[in-house]
Amino acid sequence: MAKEKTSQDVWMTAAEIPRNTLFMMSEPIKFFVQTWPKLGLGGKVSRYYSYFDGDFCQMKYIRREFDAQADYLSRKMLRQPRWAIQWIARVERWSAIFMHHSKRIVRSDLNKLSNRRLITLFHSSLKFQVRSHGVGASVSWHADAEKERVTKGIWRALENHLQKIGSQYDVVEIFGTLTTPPQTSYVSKEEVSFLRTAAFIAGRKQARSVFLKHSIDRIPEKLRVADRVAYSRVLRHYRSFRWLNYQYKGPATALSEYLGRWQELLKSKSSPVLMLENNLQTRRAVMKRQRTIVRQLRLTPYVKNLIMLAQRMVFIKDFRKDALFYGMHSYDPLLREIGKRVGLTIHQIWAMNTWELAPALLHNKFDIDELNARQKEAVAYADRKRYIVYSGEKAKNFLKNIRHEKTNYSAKKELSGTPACTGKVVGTVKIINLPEEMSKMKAGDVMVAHNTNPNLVPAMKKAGALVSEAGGLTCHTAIVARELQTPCIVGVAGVTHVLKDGDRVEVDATRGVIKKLK
Amino acid sequence: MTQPFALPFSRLGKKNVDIAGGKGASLGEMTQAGIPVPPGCVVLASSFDQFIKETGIDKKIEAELKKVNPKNIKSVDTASANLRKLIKGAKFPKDIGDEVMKEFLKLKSPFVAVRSSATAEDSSAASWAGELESYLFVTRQKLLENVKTCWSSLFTPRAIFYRIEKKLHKQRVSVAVVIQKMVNSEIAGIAFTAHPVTKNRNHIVIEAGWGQGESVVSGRVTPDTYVYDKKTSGIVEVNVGSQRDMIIQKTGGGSKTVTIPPANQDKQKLTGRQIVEIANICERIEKHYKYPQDIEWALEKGKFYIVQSRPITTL
Repeated sequence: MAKEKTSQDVWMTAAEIPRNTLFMMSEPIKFFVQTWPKLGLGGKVSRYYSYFDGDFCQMKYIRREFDAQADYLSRKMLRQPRWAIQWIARVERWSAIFMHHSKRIVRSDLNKLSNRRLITLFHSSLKFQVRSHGVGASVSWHADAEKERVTKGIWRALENHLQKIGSQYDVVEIFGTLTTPPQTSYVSKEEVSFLRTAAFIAGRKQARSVFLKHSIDRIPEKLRVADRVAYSRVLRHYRSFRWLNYQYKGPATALSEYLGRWQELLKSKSSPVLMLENNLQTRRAVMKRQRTIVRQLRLTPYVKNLIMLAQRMVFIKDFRKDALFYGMHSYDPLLREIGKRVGLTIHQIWAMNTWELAPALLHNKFDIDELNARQKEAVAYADRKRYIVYSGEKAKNFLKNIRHEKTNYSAKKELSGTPACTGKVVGTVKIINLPEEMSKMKAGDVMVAHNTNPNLVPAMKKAGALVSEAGGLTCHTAIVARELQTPCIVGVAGVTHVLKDGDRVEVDATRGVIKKLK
Repeated sequence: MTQPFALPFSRLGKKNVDIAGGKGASLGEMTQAGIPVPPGCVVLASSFDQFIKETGIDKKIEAELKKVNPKNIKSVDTASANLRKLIKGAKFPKDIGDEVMKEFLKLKSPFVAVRSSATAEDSSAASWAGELESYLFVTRQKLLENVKTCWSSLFTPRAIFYRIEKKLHKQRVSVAVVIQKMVNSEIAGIAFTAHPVTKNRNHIVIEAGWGQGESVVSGRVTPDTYVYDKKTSGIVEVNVGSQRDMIIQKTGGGSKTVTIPPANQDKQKLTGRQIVEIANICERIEKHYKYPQDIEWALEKGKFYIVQSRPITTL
């Protein structure tokens, strides 16, 4: 009977995540379907599956259930912002503890630990990864995914308020400023630390000349001899932030990439000191403007809470992802050590569910052919009671019974989405979803992505306009766009499928329309 | 005691290239170093020398070789055919035969591999060993006949051509024959103790296929490829190849090609622990020779055997 029901349901893709692992996805998806109802986060999703084509992952929901869950969460959040803010506070705490435990993994002498100790170390971290990600995805992703229900709700409430008090402000002008959280993200922290280090190097004759005179591969040895202090500052920056780009399976940023950035900056005419000053100044200005607007707007406690919620959402979206990337980066040496002990590659371990790790290490229980098959194609399916991974023929049979909603983007000449930062730009399309695709970007190009992540920021900085398929004014693309003052449209359905590299387009980010030019 | 005709691996070493050939000396060297080489013996080059003297064909060989004009391929072919027929027709000396049989029985194996291993005064010239021949799953009845065929492989057209080309005819060129317990492998393959493509010396690249190693060595099947990192002692890459058929032993001697059951075709051949085990053996061989090695290995009933090892020439 269950089978019949499956064949009637229409499934949809809620997100596409390149370079993902079953290992990372196994815990949260069980959580979405089985734990959310128990926590009062909504139990509308009764079935879910992740589809893995190699390491390209698609998150699949039944359309009806996905919408019902997003409706439930967004309504509750808009009606009771304090409720959502409380959940976000918990997610923040769990994410911080997750990072703390991850740090312990990094600091451990892994090859000296017993098998049991390795598993304990992993589990102490995993416990908080599951909560941070499992719960975090509700209020910071699902509620606002696809149709941007929460963002639009807050937007409307603000719009009504502005009308009521007869303010001369337009929501577009102030939304970004108002929703900027007081905390800075790790991406901004990295930027500041990078500029500080650059300014430091620029002020030291020896260190500076090493960067100007030598090729990148020779800089480390030369710098160590020429200026030990500068050398250790360079290394400190690298160690503190290299995980930012790791995502789920790496690689982390190489030292040479940072060295290259410093070299480029030191060779250019711009002064790192001024750039640093500028960076901090801009941030102070935004916060000052925020305070001014809040004072002028005479916000009601309810709207105030909504603004607070928006700020918290912007913050937690980055923070829980940062914690996740940091955690995955810390697992890397741990998983390699375990792989060494049982004779598996890290790729084979990434094809495991997290709970398959302990039996593998402690009792040598794993099916290597299954792990190899999962790396080619896999379906990780969860319902209220079960969680099953299908691979090979079984995955193909599962997919045969799935009815998927049709998406027809082909003939469209005009696409529309939500404006996140205003402006009008004509440029050449570059589709960029992975760091290695960033080399395509030339200054002024229109960067189109499914959704952006901190590791795509270097390309985003070059863009004349930003367009993303995933949406929400609190989504990463929108936040960065406002920071950079780059015209930006988010939530453009199908844009990565309709536009191709090299297309000429006009991006009207004031109306939220993208037009293909001949 | 008179000079022996055949010696077990355990009594040979790398200094014996002149009597055991490159391959024979290397197998002796590895045996003495404690590397798991299948037991065997070498019919020494002096046996071949005595064979041609005793049967009186040595003069005929010299005369035949003199007739060869390296610019005329047909003359090479004719000489080769004549010489091989000559050796085939000659009688196997009884004293040599007895001693070879004695060594064969010591191996306690119904099947052996018989391979030629050339010798020359200039030992580097013996690298042409690879050009000579090998016979698998040889039974007791066919043993001496195959030894003779190996002897005659010194006169394949290629070998003759090579000998003249390299001006080896002025030297004393001879041939030893390796007789080795046949490993009836479930899985076999090769290993490079340095990455042949990236040249990374921290990596060991292992290729594995079902059945006898010949299909992997000859590149006839797509094997599994494993990459092991010496520095971290971890496996960094596993690529499973899909294999349809394999070479196995034929009852009564020789080998045959059979289809692999579909359920096994896409399986990973070696377990992770086995990958680490063979990688460790290969590392030991490399340490012994102090140079990256190109190794042939086989797995029989859960035990690894090293069939051959030689330096990687392309690094």
